[in-house]
Amino acid sequence: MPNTKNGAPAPKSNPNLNDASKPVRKKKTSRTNKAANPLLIWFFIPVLCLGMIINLVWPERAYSNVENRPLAHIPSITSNGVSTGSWMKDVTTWFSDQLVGRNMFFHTNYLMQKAAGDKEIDDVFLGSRSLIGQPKKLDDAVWKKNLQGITLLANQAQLPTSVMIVPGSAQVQPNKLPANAPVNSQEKLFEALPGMEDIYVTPVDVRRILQGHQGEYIYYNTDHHWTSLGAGFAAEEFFAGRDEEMSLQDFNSYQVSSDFQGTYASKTGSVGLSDDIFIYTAKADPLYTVKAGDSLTTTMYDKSSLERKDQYELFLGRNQALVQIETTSTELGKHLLIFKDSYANAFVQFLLPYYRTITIVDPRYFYDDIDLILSSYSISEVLYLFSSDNFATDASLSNVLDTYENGLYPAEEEQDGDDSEGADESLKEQGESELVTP
Amino acid sequence: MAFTDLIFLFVFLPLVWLLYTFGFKKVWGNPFLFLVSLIFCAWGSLYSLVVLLVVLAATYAAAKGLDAIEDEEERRKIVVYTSAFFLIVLLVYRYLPVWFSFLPFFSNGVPAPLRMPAGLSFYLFSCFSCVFDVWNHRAPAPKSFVDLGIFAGFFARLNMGPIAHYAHDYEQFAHHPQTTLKNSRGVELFLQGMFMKVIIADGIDGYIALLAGDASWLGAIMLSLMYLLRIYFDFAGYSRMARGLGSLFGFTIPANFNKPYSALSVQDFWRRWHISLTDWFRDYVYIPLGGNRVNKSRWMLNILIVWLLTGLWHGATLHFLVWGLLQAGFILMEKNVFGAKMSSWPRALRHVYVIVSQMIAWTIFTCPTLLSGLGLIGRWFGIGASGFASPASLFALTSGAVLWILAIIGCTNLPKVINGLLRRISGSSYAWVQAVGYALCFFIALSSLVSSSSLTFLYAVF
Repeated sequence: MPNTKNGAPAPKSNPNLNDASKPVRKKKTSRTNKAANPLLIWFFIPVLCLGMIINLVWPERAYSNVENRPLAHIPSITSNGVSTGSWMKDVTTWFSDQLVGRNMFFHTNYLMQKAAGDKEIDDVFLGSRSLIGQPKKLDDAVWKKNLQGITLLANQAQLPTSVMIVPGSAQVQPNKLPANAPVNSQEKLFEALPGMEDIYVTPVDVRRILQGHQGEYIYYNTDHHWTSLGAGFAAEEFFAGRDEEMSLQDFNSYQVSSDFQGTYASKTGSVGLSDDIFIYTAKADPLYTVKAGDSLTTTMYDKSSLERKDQYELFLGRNQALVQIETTSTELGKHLLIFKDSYANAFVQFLLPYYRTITIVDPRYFYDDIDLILSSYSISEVLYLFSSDNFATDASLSNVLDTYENGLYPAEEEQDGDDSEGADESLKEQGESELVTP
Repeated sequence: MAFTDLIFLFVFLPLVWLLYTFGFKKVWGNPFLFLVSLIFCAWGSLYSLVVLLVVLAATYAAAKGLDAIEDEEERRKIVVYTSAFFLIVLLVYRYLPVWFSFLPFFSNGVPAPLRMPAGLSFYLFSCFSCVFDVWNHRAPAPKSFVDLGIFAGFFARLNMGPIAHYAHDYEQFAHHPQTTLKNSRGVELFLQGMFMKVIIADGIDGYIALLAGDASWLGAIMLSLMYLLRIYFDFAGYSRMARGLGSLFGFTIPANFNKPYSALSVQDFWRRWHISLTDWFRDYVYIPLGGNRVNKSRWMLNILIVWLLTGLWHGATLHFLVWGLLQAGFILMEKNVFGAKMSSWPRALRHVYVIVSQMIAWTIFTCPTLLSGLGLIGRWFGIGASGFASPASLFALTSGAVLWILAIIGCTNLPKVINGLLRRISGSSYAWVQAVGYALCFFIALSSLVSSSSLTFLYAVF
């Protein structure tokens, strides 16, 4: 039998092959005469093998501090999971999450992208010494329904109501953005706010105030929140709109952290960027208690958060459905209800001297009826404080408001909840608001 | 399982390579590779595995029957029945869920048992190739079911090809020795492909998302260019990884791409793009239809039929058919209108012609509907454009500058020239320079993979 050069038997020719058939074209391998580089094999294969061994023996981790998220656990096997492939998908995710050296790769990717001139990672713009989030695209049905609900509740419950929608830093500090950064516009939402004004509702133009201080440290460089200073300027405007005196001069500020790395740092894997956190306490701060769930404390500052990844939790701790603050303020009869997202957490410190009680509801986690809140806490006024990103995309506020007296929104409105045009029409019929229709 | 899944890189590949190289190669090499290919397939879902095994069984029975039976009429019947079965499988998994998506049966998505297994149209075409080649006496039937499994279902080419040509490949089943050269070449190809996919194709993908709703002229031009570049680096990257993996196990998988964007005509482009598919249609459709050895009108019809089927192979919706007919249109134009005059055109003009024609084609191909594709092309000419440039398009142009340069260089012969230059400069230390270069590429690609969880390969849906 004829042998090939390296001694293996040559394939037999097939006697059935048709001589008249087209000869089989042998593909040339242009590299056959090229010399091998054994170093490549000695690099690649051992790296993969070493990676395999390390990854299989390394203990599982539950949480990534750098990415600020829980890591996937090894999934339990089920017959349905295996037949549909979902178990295999979960194992793939688990392995990816648990990869040893994940943090190093994460930071390396940031450095590589910076070095290559990339100006955006995962909807975060890479500014100069600052990370700025891309504002979310407006969900017209959501924000219009939220605004409508605020107006309806204020009028039906006859409660003085303030509305503060806080823009992100991209809309306030454009000078921090990279050139030509294509920032999503939330203009329609901010243009609609002044139109809400009526005898009960007072919109607070936070955007204008913050833009007036755009050169100052009003947003964190690595996080999506505003700083205490930004919240303080907004607080001044809030009280000014109510003809009340409040000045940052009446507060002492203290730096409590200089190594805060927030959500944008987690998203991008940034290296070398961190933030300072300041708290503000009134020079004549009242005593107060903070009740959240089963816990009762005498401070709104959760100092243990400074040892954790998300140091913004310094303000009122982790997000809670309901927080109740009682103060020794002399402002008897002033009982504030705040519907809010986490932006309000840094704001509350400026309210303490001015209210007897502050009831804080985060609609994202709140599943009770608001009737109970309004009656139990003798609410005298309401504040809505949301980031524009949440307000424009999260429907939980309107869901919570709709629990008022078994249904705040008109019935036909509920059926067409997603129809923004319908929402507009209903408002006009109510004659209670003059929403600016974009 | 995708080649860019970390579990593939750090568990499947090293484990299989070690067990094969230092254990099973000498005695149970092919059965071992077939077994791990089945595990690789089953990683998608057990249903995928069942479909693969049924298709392989049908192919094996047909090939053995064709080998054993001498009566040509009987043999023809076997080919017809097997082909009909393959087409029904393709129809059920590939086309019916799209064409009948309005039925209540599909209201909650395609049920798991009917979801198209990864790589179905690739390995089905490989099986077609086996049946046709055995029928035409171009190759003997596979000696064993395992050999057929390695041919059509080897994990390196299971998901997205390259489509295997039985007559070219069958000799490798018996003898595919691992050599240092093949291993080293395998690592090179795999890492080159990984870089093309993870850094360039996935990098471009981010900018495509950014410009998706952009209505400016510059945005439209950039978006179409990005479609053109992304599909190349995604698919050619995958194909290179597949060739590298094949090489690591001693197989020689022919190149599926040969710098297609440096072509001088659309015909030339298709000799360089997805070569395994073009070869398949040429060998099993175009030539049996008579090829160019028929009268001119029949020849033109043959070209149209081939491209209509190529479009249909890519997808069940109108824009894929239009894309196929568009390619046929360019080719017919080159044959009938430009003719020999084309060779006298300046080379630059011919390059521009190929790039623009393919920008049009890939725009139609990539946009979700024909209308949206035409709308985007309309904006190239100012129709419906909001202005010359938008902030998003300028941002994409500047922020992605390094990526664009890398991508454009990657489409040319320049990497080869740079490599030659490096070889000359570094002399005897070239091996070290090369190893460090590839190690860096791997590290960079891995960093990107870990932070973004790589996007799926585009051709995985075909």
